[in-house]
Amino acid sequence: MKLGLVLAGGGGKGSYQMGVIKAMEHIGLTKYIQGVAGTSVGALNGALLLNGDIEKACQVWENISPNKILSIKGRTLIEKLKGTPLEKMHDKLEIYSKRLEDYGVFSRKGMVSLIEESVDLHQLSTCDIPFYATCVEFPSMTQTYFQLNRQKPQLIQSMLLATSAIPVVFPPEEIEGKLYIDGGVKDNVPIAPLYKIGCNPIIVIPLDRSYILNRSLYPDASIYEIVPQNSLGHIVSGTLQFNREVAKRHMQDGYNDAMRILRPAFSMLQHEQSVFKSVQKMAYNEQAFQKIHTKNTLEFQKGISNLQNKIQGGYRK
Amino acid sequence: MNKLSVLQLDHLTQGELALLTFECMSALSSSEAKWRELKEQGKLTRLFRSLNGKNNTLRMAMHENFITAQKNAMNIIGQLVKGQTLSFSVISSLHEKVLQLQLENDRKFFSLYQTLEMMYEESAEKFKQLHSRMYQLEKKVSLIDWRQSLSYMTYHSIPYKQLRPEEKVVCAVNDFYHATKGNWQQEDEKYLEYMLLDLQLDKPIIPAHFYERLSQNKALFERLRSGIQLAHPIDAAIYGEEPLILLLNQQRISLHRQKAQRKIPSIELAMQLLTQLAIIEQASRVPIGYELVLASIPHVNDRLRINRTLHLEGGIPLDQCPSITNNTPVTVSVYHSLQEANTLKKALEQNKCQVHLMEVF
Repeated sequence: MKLGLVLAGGGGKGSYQMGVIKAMEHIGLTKYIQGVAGTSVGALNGALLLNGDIEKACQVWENISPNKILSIKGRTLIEKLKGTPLEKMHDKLEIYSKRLEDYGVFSRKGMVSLIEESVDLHQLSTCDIPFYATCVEFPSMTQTYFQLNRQKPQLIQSMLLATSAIPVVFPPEEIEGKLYIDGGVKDNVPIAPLYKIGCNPIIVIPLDRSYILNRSLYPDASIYEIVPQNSLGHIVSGTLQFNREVAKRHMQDGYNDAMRILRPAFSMLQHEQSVFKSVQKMAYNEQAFQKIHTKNTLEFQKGISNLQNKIQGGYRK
Repeated sequence: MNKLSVLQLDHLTQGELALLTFECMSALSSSEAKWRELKEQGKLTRLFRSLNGKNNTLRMAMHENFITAQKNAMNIIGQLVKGQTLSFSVISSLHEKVLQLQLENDRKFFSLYQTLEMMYEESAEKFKQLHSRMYQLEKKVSLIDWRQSLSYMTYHSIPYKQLRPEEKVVCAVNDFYHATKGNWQQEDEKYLEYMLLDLQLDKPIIPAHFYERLSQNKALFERLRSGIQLAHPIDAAIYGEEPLILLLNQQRISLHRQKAQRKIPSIELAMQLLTQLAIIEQASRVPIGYELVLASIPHVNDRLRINRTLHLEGGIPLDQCPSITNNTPVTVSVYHSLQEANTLKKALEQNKCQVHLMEVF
């Protein structure tokens, strides 16, 4: 079994994935993960997961605050939209501008410091588990799945920044002479790289309840979704929401949803293991018994034969 | 590897049910999430998504997930059935194994039994031979010892040699009987003969006189039968008197009637006495009859039926039957034939009576 984990992008909703990862760790499933792929915040969560310290990873989300990540305020965002095709929606966005005052988008600086503080890039560079981040090459808009593990720390950081480089808001990230932007534009749920390297089964954690998985693209693969039961919000109330209380709530939702799915399977696995162990023990005992029994039977027959010969010999005398 | 082990390891898969359960739960959960999404979306969103077909796609995905969940549920059932079949196969194999072991044990026990039987027969034969030799040796030692200690033996504090002839005969006969434990061979009789010669009983004796004197001397009679152990006490009432006395008296009366004054060697007389002692001892081991006791009857109303049985099967006169059935526990009769007693016993038992059959000696 080569278990793969796909983490979708979704900004502030990404704390849900950490709750799911916590549940997987609780069940003991994370140690079987043989491949990770993520987009945007999913890639960041993947990096935290592969660092191996789930408690620390959870703390990153528990201690998150808008000030840490969002340095560009909503008003600035709207200003930045001027001169872009989205300018047509300017009036509509004005309505939300007041609400957007408390929100924002990833700032390059904030993201860089978050990655530097939270992710052990050196550890990732020596990691054997394939780890992919989805980016889109700009301006050709072709999707690229960067393999982050076994890369130099600086390059890993660039790739993590590239996968989070929301178009318009951030300038594209340059990697090896090419420009890349957020992979969510083309493939927000990057199953393809893990399917390609033969991961099966694959667990997918989308951050949107309306996500539709197209299974026909991955024939013969067992793909299991862990989808949020409660809405994690939309762009403003979810993606741009970097509030520790919200993050904690999403993490708890993720943990609960995952446990609801994993617990019955885990319980079943425990029963199966118990049966298997019993059968193995029985087979072992049977073998041992057969060995001893055959020996004892031969000894018995030999003993009886000798005794009968002795008696008959004595009788003849 | 034995059959049992192969069966289990070939059929068992680990984690298959868990994966099916996981897939089933995942599909259901995904479906539920989509249902919630449809349920919780606002009117405008619903309208918009209905128009662009997204809601329809969500519904289709929900159905697909339901189908996946149901398929997996069926697969889980299939796996469980497989597990159940495997359990039965294991039980069946174990049962077969137990039976095989039982048969093997039976064969071993039989073999052991045959060997033990062989050993027992061999040993019993040897023991019998040894016992016989030991017995003969013991008997000879006792007889030699008896003869050697003649000078020390007394009757009423009188040395054997000074006793009257009839006393000498009685003492010698009783001692000889004890020394041989009542089981003497012809060759042993020589010891008695030598003893009688040692006691100066070389002259012939008139049996009539001997029996006459024995019948008049109760102490001497007691000496003759002292130490003779009877297997069952013989009921003197049946014979009218003590069986040995009866025998001796019959001998005495017979000789008296014949007015026999014929003399016989003392050894011959001694052998007659020994034979009579042996007869009495043997007779105590054989029952002379079987006493049928009616211990109880099931119900008072059954008496008439039981009376009829007693009359028809037991040959008891009809007028005597009520006195039997009214006085339980009571002796019905004493039968000489065991078969006869058993016939009546079975007939009474068919009437649910409690009946005991006892040997009479």
